[in-house]
Amino acid sequence: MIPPEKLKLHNSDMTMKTHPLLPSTLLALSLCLAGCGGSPETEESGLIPITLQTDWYAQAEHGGFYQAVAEGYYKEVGLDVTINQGGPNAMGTQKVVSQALEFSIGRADDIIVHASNNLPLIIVSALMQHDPQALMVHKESGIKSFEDLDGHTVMTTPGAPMVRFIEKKYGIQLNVVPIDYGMSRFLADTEFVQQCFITNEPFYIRKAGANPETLLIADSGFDPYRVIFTNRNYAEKNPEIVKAFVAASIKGWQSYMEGPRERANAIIQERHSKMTDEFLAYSVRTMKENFLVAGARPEDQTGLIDPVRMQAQIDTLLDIGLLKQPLEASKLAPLDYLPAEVRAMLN
Amino acid sequence: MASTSIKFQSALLPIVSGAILLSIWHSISYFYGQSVGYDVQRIIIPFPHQITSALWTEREALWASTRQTALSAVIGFLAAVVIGYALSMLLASAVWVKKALYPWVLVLQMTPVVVLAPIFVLWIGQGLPSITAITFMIGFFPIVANTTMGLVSTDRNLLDLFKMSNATKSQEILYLRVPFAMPYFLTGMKIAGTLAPIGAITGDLFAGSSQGGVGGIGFMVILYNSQLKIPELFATAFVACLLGFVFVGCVNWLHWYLLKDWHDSARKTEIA
Amino acid sequence: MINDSNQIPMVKLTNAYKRFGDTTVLEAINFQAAKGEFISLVGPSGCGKSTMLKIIAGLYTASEGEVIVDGMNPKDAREEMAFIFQEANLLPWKRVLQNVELPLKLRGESKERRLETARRMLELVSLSHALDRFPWQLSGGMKMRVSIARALTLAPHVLLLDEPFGALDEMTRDNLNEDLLRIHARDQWTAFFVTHSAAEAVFLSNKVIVLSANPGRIAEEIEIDLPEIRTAELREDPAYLNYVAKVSHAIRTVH
Repeated sequence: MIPPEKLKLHNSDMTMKTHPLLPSTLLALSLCLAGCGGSPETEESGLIPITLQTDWYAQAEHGGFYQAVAEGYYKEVGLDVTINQGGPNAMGTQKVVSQALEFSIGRADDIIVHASNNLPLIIVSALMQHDPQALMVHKESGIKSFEDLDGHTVMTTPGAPMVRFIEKKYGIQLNVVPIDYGMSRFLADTEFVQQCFITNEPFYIRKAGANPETLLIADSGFDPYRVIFTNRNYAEKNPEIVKAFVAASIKGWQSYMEGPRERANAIIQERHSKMTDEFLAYSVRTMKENFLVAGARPEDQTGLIDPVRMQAQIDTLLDIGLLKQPLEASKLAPLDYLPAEVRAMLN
Repeated sequence: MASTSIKFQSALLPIVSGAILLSIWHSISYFYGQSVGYDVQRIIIPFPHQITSALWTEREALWASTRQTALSAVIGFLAAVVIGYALSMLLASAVWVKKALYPWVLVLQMTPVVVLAPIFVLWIGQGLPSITAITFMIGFFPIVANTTMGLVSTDRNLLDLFKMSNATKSQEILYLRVPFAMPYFLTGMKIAGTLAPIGAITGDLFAGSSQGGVGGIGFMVILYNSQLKIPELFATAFVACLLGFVFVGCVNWLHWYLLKDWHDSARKTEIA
Repeated sequence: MINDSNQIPMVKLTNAYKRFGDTTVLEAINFQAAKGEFISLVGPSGCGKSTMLKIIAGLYTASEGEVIVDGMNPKDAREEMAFIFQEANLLPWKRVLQNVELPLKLRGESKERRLETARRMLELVSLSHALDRFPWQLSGGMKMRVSIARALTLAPHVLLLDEPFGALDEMTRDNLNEDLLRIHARDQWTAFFVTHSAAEAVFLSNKVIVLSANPGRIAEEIEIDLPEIRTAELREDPAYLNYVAKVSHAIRTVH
């Protein structure tokens, strides 16, 4: 009764709506094929190929790594490093777990949660002493503190530990909405609250004519490191490589923050055309002003992880009920891979 | 006697094949776990029993989110049915109307929902209204396409019959065109019924929120995925599948009930 | 058979033409039918028999010429006419009784009246036992009877039949022919009956009109002078068989 042409429309309709599992399943299949361990091969040039998965498109928040590539610090220590850009579905954790690549970056609290679920992850270095994560509000909304957020619609990652922490600490209830990485919802509603990097979104919001203000998550007492992590088994088998990577990366970050950084920025701009000089300068300035990369205290040196602070972070998460089991900072984030001079800052 | 054994066989076959598939799955998980370690295996290919156990521990959250998704699916579906039918009547009323409007209906249909969804959220806001709108968008075209077809395909001879009886236009529509179009409409409705749960879950991905504690199924997908709670993710998939079955089952039943007296598609046997 | 040419004609076509675009389907049709006449229209395929029927019914309008039904324009005379189609044309979603009461329902007749009339008509065609069935539960012959019953509820003055029995087997056909005549004897409507079968035409009618094709014109009018009351035995009557031969011959030789 219905001519075939009409039915065909519906079939193509159905394939356009992807099943929620599709990305994970495809990734799972490709990971099975790709990664069952495997040691890195030595290339003709003698450099060891390493891949770093970043968590977003190329940006100043990855600047130190690009600096290390641009200024040859990785080559100096015998590594040929490829930096993979990320995006909304970077899946760095999965790739490191299955050893499809060697290193990735992320927030310490996420890694802690995964590790408590027995995923074989290990934190080898801090990337930033304080995570740039913040909540962006409109000046017009009058929100000045975390308590003022009660009942507001907050666009963030559902299930993010920071949401639970804030709700519990301040006794408030947030209406969480899945993040879409856009700006239009925020711009359309002065009561809207959106998760952001303090180094990023406010710049564009201001350009769009609105008045954003930020509440840095670290100020709430939820103050995770931003870290470099790898697969535990890989680290145990290749400690020298990990040390070399960490050392060169820390050098790259110190160099990037100090400047000059034109070559690194050129790579970033080539990969992500949105990164104007003005914007990159803004990000770097913000990182400096807020002591994100190297902290304000002398002990908070670039790359250093303070075991006491790390344990405090673990315990906070345990307290909120997000961990399956307690963890020891010394196991999760051993200092063995840090350069000696950085480790020395602790004493 | 013969028919009960056939029924028994029909029920038995999928159960047996299902058990075989489950064993194959279990084996794959086992061997994968052997090669990469069970903690990794758990987040890539969980064992079936890990999934059922996740289903049990998360049962309250999943039940709440299913209720929410089901609600938006039902409302979106009903909106698609009612508005879709009304639109079909409009399109079928005159040839020039169809020529004027149908292309735009097609344009709306061709625009992928994943593109329209954020626009809806921008205009309508988060939550149930947006999700319902997205569900509606997915379901209304099959209904419009099929019903319009049915309304204009009325048997020529039957139309002549009505003409001979000097029937008024409204009599023709009420007693002839509408009943004649019923099988077409119900076919469209069946298709929309299949799409409605998918639409609601997709809508959730864009417009879902944790209002009231839990989001819909789509929201749970994002939640579990971001926390790498993979067995729970599989459990969510299972629940979504179940919702689809229930929904489609109800719509199919309605199709059967309305047509069982007289239409081929609902009847199984015929008298010569 | 009443064949009183002194009466005012029930149906009269004067110089009627029908064109569809550039094609002339009917040309210079002239004839008239008195009340109670049973007239068959025969001819080769494409000679416009069905078209002529539809013009009388008012479903088509003549391109030229005059068509009068009971002194009126066919469209105005619809209430006095009933059309029986090649297919039974029953509403598949309604039961037999509801199908038969349909014309009266459309006309606005009250429920008791139309149900009562419907039941009576169904009794007339011997289908009282099948009131509650759906069309798919009926045989071809039964469906056609329902169609006839439906047509009769309106107590028409003119009955137009477009090859109604063509799809049925011979025995069913013969039975329906006899039933039709039985009812005709009772109600005396004027009938126009399109058929491919010369035998059927002769059996039923008092006059057979033979049309030629391309374009359709009246080639011959053959009066059938057979007894008014016709039974199955007539089919073996030599006079009848003569007429059948004559009509067959006419159909074959006309072009």
